[in-house]
Amino acid sequence: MFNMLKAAVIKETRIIFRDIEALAILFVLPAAFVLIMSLALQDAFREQAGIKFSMLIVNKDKGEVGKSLVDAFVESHYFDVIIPESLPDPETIDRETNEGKYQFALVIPEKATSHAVENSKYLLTGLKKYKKDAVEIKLYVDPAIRGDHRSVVLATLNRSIKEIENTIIVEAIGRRSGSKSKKDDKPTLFSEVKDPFENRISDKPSPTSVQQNAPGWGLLAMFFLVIPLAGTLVRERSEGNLLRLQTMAAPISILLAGKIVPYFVVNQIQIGLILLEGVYLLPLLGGEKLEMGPHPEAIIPLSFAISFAAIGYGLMVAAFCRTAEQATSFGATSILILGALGGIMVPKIVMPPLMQEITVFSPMSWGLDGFLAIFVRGADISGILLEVGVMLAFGFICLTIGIIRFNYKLTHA
Amino acid sequence: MEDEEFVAVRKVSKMYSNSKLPAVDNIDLSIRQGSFFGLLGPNGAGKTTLLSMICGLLAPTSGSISIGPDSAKNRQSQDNSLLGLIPQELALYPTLTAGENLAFFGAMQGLSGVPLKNRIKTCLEITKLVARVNDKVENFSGGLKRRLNLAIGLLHEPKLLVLDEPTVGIDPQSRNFIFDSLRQLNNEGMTLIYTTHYMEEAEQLCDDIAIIDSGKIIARGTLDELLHDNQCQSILFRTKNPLPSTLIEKISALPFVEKITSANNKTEILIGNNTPDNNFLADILDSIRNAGLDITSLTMGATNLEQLFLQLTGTQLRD
Ligand SMILES: Nc1ncnc2c1ncn2[C@@H]1O[C@H](COP(=O)(O)OP(=O)(O)OP(=O)(O)O)[C@@H](O)[C@H]1O
Ligand SMILES: [Mg+2]
Repeated sequence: MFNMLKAAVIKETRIIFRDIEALAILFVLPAAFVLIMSLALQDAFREQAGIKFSMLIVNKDKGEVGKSLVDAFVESHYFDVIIPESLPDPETIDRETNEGKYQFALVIPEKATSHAVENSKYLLTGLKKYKKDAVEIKLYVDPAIRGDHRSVVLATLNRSIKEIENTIIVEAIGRRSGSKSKKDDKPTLFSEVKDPFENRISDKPSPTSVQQNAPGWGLLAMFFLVIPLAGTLVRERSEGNLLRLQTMAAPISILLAGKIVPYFVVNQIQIGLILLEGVYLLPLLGGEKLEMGPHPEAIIPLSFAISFAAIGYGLMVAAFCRTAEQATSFGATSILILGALGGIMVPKIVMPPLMQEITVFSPMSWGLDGFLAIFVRGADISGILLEVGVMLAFGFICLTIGIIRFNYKLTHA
Repeated sequence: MEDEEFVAVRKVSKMYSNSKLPAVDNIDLSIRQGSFFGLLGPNGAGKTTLLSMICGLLAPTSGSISIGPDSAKNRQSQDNSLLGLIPQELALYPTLTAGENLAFFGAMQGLSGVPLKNRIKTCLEITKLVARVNDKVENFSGGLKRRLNLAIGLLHEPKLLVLDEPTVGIDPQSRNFIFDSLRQLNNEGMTLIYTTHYMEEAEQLCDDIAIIDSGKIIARGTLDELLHDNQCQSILFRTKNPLPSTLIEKISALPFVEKITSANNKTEILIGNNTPDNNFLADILDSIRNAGLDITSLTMGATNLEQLFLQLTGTQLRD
């Protein structure tokens, strides 16, 4: 029995790995899609997930003002702050923002703090000796930045400056009246207005481009095994191989098991390669690195379950098709539809609510949810049990229907 | 031993669910051990259907089939190790090599290790494929594929080899080669069932022939028996020049001539049943010679199966 299974696995493995077309569909196509789509949609996803800008801050000031401004931008999650090691000259900054190397650049002049403090004293005392020019903080902007985004940044910047100004004045007043005010016991007049979406990020995953595209196209690729799987099986039936095998000692179930094993392995290689592509290759090509969350080990049961679903689906398609051409075209079409429905091509988060509900009918939607839970929400194995369960159930139902239909066809030739 | 029944088909019929007429209609058939049995019939006669039932691939609608010495057992409950099937389709994996195909099917027959290796070697030798063992089947000619098809059926040393039109689409050399291999196997004691719609194949190979048409066996026996039972004789000759139509009319007017066909210098005359062995040959030859025609070749004797089939069914065997 073991020898039979081994022979069946070897035979099937040879057939797969000698089928150049199948290999292209299974490995090359999805790898290319992940690359192209991840890079192409990078900005679109960034906006979807919340705007994030890169900002160069050149802080020539040694005091509070510079520090407060830098802190304000570092703390905001809308900015990736870059602090240069050496201070670049204005021309370089101008050129580099124009080139889009960073989207904004902020230059805080020397002695900004001391000038501001002096000015506050002038404000309070009216003594000319304290008078200084207003501190000029300069902002450079990438011309490709949208106007509304520019306004958001300007607003943030000006608000921070106002805050700092207030602090300095309040401190100056405090010094004058002799009371030592501490920063912490400043009275709060208004509480801060919070971003209502800030807390929802955790339950509505908004993935990066590669977090959506790598598992998405990976899933589609795994399901594409339907094409070679159903194709060979249908050919085996129409070309008499199955008839011959039926007269032999091995039960037909050995033949089927011989298919499941190599295709399962192929699936794991597929998803492994695509994840590696996202983590290592994509950043080299200027894309974002695929972040897999704190529990990447949860991918293993998920991809096992997806593979089971895909193989089950493939066997079911094979059982219902008469010719290999039918199996190929029906297999490909149905997978593309399931993929579209599952939020592979168009992410679920941008679908209208009704469409989002319909996605439950696509196994790929569940698979993708599982990946997003791991990548974006940081779910561990216990967090994807529902998805794994649904995929396993889908695979099991397909397999059962397929085997019943297959046996019926064999005995009712 | 020689006369022992090996395959017993008893009152077997098969109705496909989507057709009105039975594909196999109440067939009784007994095939002796060691015989080279030919099942001859036109397309759609029911050959494959009958074989499928003998191989246990298809359940008869009624009747019973058994193979092997234990003929009391029902076919469905017998194991298949006695039997090797060479299907009508080329049941091969084109992207695998000949050796890989053999290794796979051999394993599926339950062979492994050294015995499997030895059997593969032997079967490659029988079918003269040793030199092609590492070539992919997709690069094989039709003849080579048919030979490999045969080799696979021989792997587990079956006692009964069932061949469904194994020479479709191959050149005469490969065909003759397969014939020799089959004769050899038969001489070594293997029972063979060979279906074909080529009369000359059955004539050349089989010592026991059944003619099947529309699901029924319409004649059965050795070639001699078949031809003798249906006493039917013919004369076939070629002439340098075509026969003039006056001569054709004259010959067909002879009392014992049933039918005459003449085309391209080739003439065939069918002699009526129960014509006494008189001088009919002399009569015909005289009339040809009197017309001044030279006969370049002449064969005479019992009709071949082709004509027998025509006579039995009124239809041509091949389209
Ligand atoms: N699976 C099937 N379902 C329905 N009818 C069938 C099926 N297989 C064969 N038939 C019909 O049964 C009859 C006998 O077919 P069968 O294949 O046994 O003939 P055959 O003698 O092998 O012909 P060929 O020389 O073309 O192989 C035909 O009329 C055919 O159309
Ligand atoms: Mg047939």
